[in-house]
Amino acid sequence: MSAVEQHGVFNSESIQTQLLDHSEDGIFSVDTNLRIQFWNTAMETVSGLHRADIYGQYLFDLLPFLIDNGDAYHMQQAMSGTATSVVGKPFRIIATHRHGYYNARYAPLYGSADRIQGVMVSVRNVTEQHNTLQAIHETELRFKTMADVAPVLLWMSRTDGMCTFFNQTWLNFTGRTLEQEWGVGWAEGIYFEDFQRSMDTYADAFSKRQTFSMEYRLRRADGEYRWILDQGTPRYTPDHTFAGYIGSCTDITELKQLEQQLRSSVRWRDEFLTIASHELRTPIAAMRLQLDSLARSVSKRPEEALKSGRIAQNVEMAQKQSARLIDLIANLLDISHLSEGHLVLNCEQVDLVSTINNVIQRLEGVATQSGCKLVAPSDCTISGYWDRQRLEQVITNLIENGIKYGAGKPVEVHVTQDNQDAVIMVSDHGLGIDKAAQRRIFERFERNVSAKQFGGFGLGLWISKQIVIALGGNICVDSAIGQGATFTVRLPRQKLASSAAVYPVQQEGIHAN
Amino acid sequence: MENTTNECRSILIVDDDYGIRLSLKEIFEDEGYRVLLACNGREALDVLRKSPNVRPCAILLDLMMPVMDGARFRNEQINDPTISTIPVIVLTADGSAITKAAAMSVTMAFTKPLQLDELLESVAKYCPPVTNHPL
Repeated sequence: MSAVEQHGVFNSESIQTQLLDHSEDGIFSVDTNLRIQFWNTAMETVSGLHRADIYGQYLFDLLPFLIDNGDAYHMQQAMSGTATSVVGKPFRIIATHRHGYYNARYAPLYGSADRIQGVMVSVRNVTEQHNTLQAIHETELRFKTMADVAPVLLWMSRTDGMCTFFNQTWLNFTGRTLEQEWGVGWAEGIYFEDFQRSMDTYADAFSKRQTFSMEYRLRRADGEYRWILDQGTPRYTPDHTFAGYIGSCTDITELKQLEQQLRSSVRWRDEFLTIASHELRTPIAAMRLQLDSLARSVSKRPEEALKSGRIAQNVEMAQKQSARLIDLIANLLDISHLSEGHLVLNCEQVDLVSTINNVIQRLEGVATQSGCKLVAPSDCTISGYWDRQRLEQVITNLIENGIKYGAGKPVEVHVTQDNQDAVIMVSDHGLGIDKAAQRRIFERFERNVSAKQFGGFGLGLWISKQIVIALGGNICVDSAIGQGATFTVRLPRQKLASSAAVYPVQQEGIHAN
Repeated sequence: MENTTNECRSILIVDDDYGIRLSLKEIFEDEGYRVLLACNGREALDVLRKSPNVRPCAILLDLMMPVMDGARFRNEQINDPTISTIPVIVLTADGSAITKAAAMSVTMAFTKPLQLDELLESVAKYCPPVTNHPL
């Protein structure tokens, strides 16, 4: 022993014991046979074992859990001169009902001539820290589980804006790994047109620590770009330190499509109302003028009015206008029925050429007014099982169109047939229709001339197409600018096996009698 | 003398609707006007340019017409000094007639169906009845 140890204050064994007893950590030592040599107060408290009772006893008899925890190995290490530690091991002491977790440090205890004469162990009760860590771990696990099963795509970013977390839903959606998405990797999936805008929105909100909401197209695992609504919000630690962002994304593609459909149907309705009111007002205006004119002439010159046939003429004109109104209203009802998919067909055996000739006869007057000659189909017998009235409606529509756009040149109707179909062709030699317009003219409200210049609801071709399709046929147009247009209708001549199956407008189908 | 009478009391009706054209023609003829007719803006310009000696005192102009609509007609008319000063009255079945007319620098517009008395009164303002020649 050195001089200091021999004469110093620490030489006193009782003082050394006091110091060790003062420690909050448990401290004990064993000899080379693992017999207890020292046991401080903290150890007494934890174990309920008094040092007087246990000195000389075998350690693992006293604390058998040490063996279960594998501490015997550490003990051996220390015994052979290497200090080691164990962390977060469980303990349970029957006598005191104490249980929890401990950290322990095993160190060799040197005696004279630096010979190892045992091991000293310091033990710290870390139950509280352990439980706190456990709770944090559990919370994190719960969050991850929740995040992974959530139907939305979730992400989190650090304070530098780099994304470090994506939930399983996200990874499944993009079909990429967390490593690929990490940082700014995820942004590779954004559609190039939306990329800059999205990055700017994110960066701007990020720098201001504001919540943001943005829409962009993101590539799905199958390669399709889907519209995503991405909403992010800054997150803070309990002490209000900025910790990055957390955000959720929803696939709003369907929503967007619905919204678009809704918008276009509202636009369609508004436009329809504008056109309908214009079209309905015109014959009413003409009729009103006829009646006003009649009233004026009767009140001013009653006798002359009677004699000149003026009254009869005015009344006839008013009647014509009212007939026009009735036609328009019937048309309106058609549009409404067709839009809802209710088209009732009354099919019977119909002779095509005589039907066409009837229509031509009826339209002769209008054609003459427009200086336009109608050329009837050459006489032949083609018949089929069709709805006569609807067929007339289609032919009327096509011929009227020809007159309207035919620039005063003849409108010709041809018919032919093949094994299955009857073919009707209506040709004009007027303005013609450019290729882009040809695709649209069968849609609701498309008119070849850009402004709503010509009369009618602009739905003649749409109505015709719906009727032709309901009859199991098809309609198409062949035209070039300045070359006129030829509309071709093909109709199957045989009775349709299942009318409902071919009617495309909506679920209701048709009711063919 | 005869020419002068025609000039003061003739009007041009531009409308693509046959019924409207015919009715207005009848009414205005009853009122002693000479009535010129056109189905669209293009025809109206032809009528005005081809018979410069018959200068209507007013043009009743529909807006929605094929070939050349009312707005385009008005534009051409304003840019043609020989006819630019003839007053135009817009007649339309369009609900927003007044707004559209104003955009075409037309101050008077009627929505169809027309109030006939008001229309006749307005036309008469532009076309004063012919009084006996002072000489």
